[in-house]
Formats: sequence, C-alpha cells, structure tokens
Amino acid sequence: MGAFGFSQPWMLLLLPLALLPLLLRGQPAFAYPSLQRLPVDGLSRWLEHAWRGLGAIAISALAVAMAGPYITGKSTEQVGHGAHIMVVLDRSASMNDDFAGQRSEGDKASKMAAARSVLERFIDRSRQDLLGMVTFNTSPIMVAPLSGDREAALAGLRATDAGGVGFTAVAKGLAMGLDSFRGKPVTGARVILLVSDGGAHLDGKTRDLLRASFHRQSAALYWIYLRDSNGGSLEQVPEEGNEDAYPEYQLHTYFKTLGVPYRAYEAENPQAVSAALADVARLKNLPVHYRVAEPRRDVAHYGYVLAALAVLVLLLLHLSEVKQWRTT
Amino acid sequence: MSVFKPDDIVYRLDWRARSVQPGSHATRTPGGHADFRGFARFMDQPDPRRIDMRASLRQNPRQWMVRQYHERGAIVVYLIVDLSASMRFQGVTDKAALLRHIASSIAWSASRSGDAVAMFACDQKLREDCRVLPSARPGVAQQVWQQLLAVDTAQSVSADSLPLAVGQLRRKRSLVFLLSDFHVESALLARTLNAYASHDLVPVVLWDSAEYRQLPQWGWGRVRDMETGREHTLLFRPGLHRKISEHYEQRRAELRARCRAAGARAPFFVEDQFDAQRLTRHLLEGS
Repeated sequence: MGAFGFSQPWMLLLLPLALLPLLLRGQPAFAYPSLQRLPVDGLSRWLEHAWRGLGAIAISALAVAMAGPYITGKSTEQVGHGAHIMVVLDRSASMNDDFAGQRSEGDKASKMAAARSVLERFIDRSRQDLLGMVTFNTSPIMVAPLSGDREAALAGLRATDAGGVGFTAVAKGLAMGLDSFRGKPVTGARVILLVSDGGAHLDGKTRDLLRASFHRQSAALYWIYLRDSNGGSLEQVPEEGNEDAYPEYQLHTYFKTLGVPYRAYEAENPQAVSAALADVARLKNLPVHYRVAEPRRDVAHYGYVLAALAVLVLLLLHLSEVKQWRTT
Repeated sequence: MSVFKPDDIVYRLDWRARSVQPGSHATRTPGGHADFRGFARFMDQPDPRRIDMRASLRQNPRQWMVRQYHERGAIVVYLIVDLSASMRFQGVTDKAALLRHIASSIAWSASRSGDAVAMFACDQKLREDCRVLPSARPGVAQQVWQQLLAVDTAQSVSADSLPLAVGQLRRKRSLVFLLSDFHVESALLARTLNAYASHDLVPVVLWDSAEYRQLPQWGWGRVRDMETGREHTLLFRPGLHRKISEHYEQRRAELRARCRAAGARAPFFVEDQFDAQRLTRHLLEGS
C-alpha cells in the first residue's frame, strides 16, 4: 500500500472552519411561544444534526481536497512470459554456401537451409511469443511484422528458399528489426535474433544510432553466427593490423559494448545451429520479473465529490426550508 | 383591535361576597331587601315594614316575625395579565392585541355592572408601570386599554411573578381573571394556581391557531423559544402536525384537570378570536 500525502498541506489550516456549522447559532428562526409545548420528534432532531453535520462535512472535505491528497504509487512485481522476437535473417549470397564454404550442391545443406529448418522448428515451438521477421541482404525487407501470426513468419521463412543474393548489410537489418518494436507495449522480453554468416563493417555514426536504438527499445541481442570454414572465429583475436579482414570479430566486439544483453553463438554445422537456437529459446523463455511503479494517484476528487454531495443535500435542505409560517 | 371597542360580558358569582359597596352581587352583608335570608323575631329587628304575616301566624307561641335580607354588593374584579415574552407571539392574530381586547372587555363589563376593576401585569417581576389599582370610576376600562397598549415588553422574559401578584389583591375573596397563554413550567403553574386558591379564579388561556393547527404543510424550519431562546428544528409533515395538535389537546386536558384540582374555574380557551358571548356562557355555566 502506498503512502498518503498532501501536495499543499497548509490548506489543512482551513479545517477548523468545519466547526463553524456546528457552533454557529442565530440562523433565522420562527419565534415560537414555548418549545415545551412541542412534542419530541426524532426525525426533526435528526434533521437538525444532519444539516449541521453536512455543513461540517462539506467544509472539511473541501479543505482536505484543496490540500491535494494523493496516494503514492505502489510498485507491483510482474512476471512476463514469452518474448517479442524479431528474427533478422541474413539472405546474402554467402548463405547459399554450405558450412564447408562451398556452393552447396543439392545433398549438402546450405547454411540458409540449415538455418531455415531450425528456425521453422523454433517458430513452431514459440507459442507464447510474438514473432516477426526481417530479412536483409543489401537492404532489409520486412517479411513479417511483429505479431502473434506465426504463419506469416513461416511463410516468410519459406520464401528464403529462393536463395540469397547481394551483400550483408547488418546495420540496416537490425535497424528495421528494432523499428518494429517501436510503439509497442513492453509485455515481454524483446529479443533480436540475428542469424547471419558474416559481419559487416559499421561506421561510427551507424554504431551510435544502433546503440541508441537498442537502448531505447531495450532489446536483447542473440547472434547466431553461421561460421563456415572460411570465416574467422569470434573469439579469436585477429593479428595486429589485420582487423579489417575480420568484420565479424569487429561486429562481435561492438555488440559487446552495446550495453544490452548479448550473446553470440558460433555455429559451424546444422547441429550447432539447432543447439544455439534451443539455447536461445530457453533463455528467452525464462520468466521476466520486473517491478512496475505506478504513478501516484490524486485522490482529491473524492473530497470534491463528497463536498459537492454535501452541498447538494444542503441546497435541497435550503430549498425545502419553510420561509413563511403561514401561506395566507 | 387598535381602537378601544370592548365587548360586553356577563358574569355571576356562586358565592356571597363580603362587600359594603352597593352592587349587583350577593353578599353576606345583612340588610336590604334583595336576597331573602330568613325570619327573625320582631323584637330582634323592630322594622314594621318587614313584618311577614304568614310567618307570624305559623309561630307558636304567637309573635310577630319579620323577614331578613342580604345586601347586594359590589366586588373588585382583578385582571392578572401575563406579559411574558411568549405573549408577544404574532400568529393568526397579535396575541398582545387580543390580550388587550379581552382585558378591556372584562374591565368594561365589570365597570358597567358596578364593580371595581384592578389590573396587575406580570413578567419576571411584577410590573410597576402597568397596573390599575382597584377603582369603580368610569373610564377604568380605557385605562386598562391604554396601560396595555403603552406597556413595553421588550425586556420581558418569563412569567415568574404570576404567583406574586396575589399579594396585591385584597384578602377578601374576589373574582380574578388570569389572562395568559399558560406556556409555563409545571412548577410555576402549580404555584400560580395555589396562590389564587382563595379567590374565584377564571383562567383565560390565549392560544393562537398558528401555534398548533395552522402549521406549514411540508418542509422544515427552525423555531426559537421566545422565552428561553433555545432553538429547535422541525420537519413539518402530516405526522408532526398530528403529534403537535395531540400534544396541545393533552395540554388542554391537563390544564382543565389542574385548574379543577386547584379549585379554580374551568379554563376558558381563546383561539385567535375572542367571543364575548362564549365567555359569558362559560362564566354563567360555571357559576
């Protein structure tokens, strides 16, 4: 329960005015020879108490309401299930190669095919999640917006069957994926699942933009790096002066500086891809505990309503008061 | 009622007054030739004009008998007037004007039938400035009227001096009209009635129909006691109307019972209008 407070406590100094209706005498009254001759009437006595009491209630309620009472917001703990997952899938030409770095020839599964089959299962399993998909090569394509519609995502995934072309523009894909979180309520963990087989060089401005975007959307990043035999490892520090030859390593080090939860999985074969995805599924399925602080609630309107009701009743009493003893 | 225009009433005593002034009431004073008292021997009262032949013949041994009579005499009619704050009430009629009218009517009628009239006014103390000492001169009714018209009752509160006024009365039994609304405490009422027990007391109760019958139909209002200043809120509705008039009826019965117990005449109730003929009937029936 939140604490109770007043935004303008000095208004409470008006509170003693509420005694006025109880103490003041001398309202206009009809002269009557002797009250001894009047019978004791319970209803009339109640009326007397009522109109004095209502006056006191109206004044005190107004004073309290003007003091601006509020209840500080309590913070509630909430548990989130499921995640908002944007799959950012690389469709560059290199994805057509198999893990050996060769152009895949029928029986050998290309990296794209491996990623696709594993992603299909992943999408099938993630019942509680919202899913979306962005594919990118030279420029990104919004395949399926973030929604509970799994069929759209699967259809987009199947469309990658056509094969990849072009380069790897990671930054644009990530930016589009992050954009799809914008304006949506945070009801679960936000995850960008980047599936790509290589890195790209990002310039300083793009890095800053991406970092800001990650922070704004507070999205976690999982990178499934489909490494073929030609690609360098993410953990292997390149030789001095040879950094530009390993863009994936640069990307990895950049991702680590993002300040959002980030994990990279190196997958060198289809089994590794599937293991990495299973890992991701487990991670993002962890229940998300978070505290939500409610804003403090202004309760002054209760005072005003009470005062208005009391004044209304007093007005009715005033209207029903006898102004003249005899009608003639 | 703003002009002196008294009504005539007639009253009679059912007791013999002690009076030496000639008047119209039966007295205990021997003499005269109005009320037959009995026979006496001629030798005891040697007045040949009163010789009664039949009574003389009935006597054995024979002797002359004469008739004896009571004198007719005048009495003093006292008006004890309640000037307490509650008598300033103005309902259907102005109670002070009604009081003035009734008091002057009684004074006028008493004066015309040869009796002396006196008036004493009471609020919390006996009023010195508003009184008429016993007098049979003509014009005493006008004096009563003017005294009651001129009296200033702004400082009046209660009617506590009602029993004290008896000290101003002569000791002989007199006819006393007590003009009040009788809105007094029970103890004061008892003291008042006991104080006048040796006199022939006629309570005249002045009530206004606005007090208990002509009340507002619906709504609520505050009433202030004219004597104590206490305030009360009343929620007017048919139920309360019934309650109030029942309460007043109870009071009427209570007043009757207490007056009877104290040996006074039955109270005469005046509501809004003073009907002199009703008062006459009331006085003649009660005597």
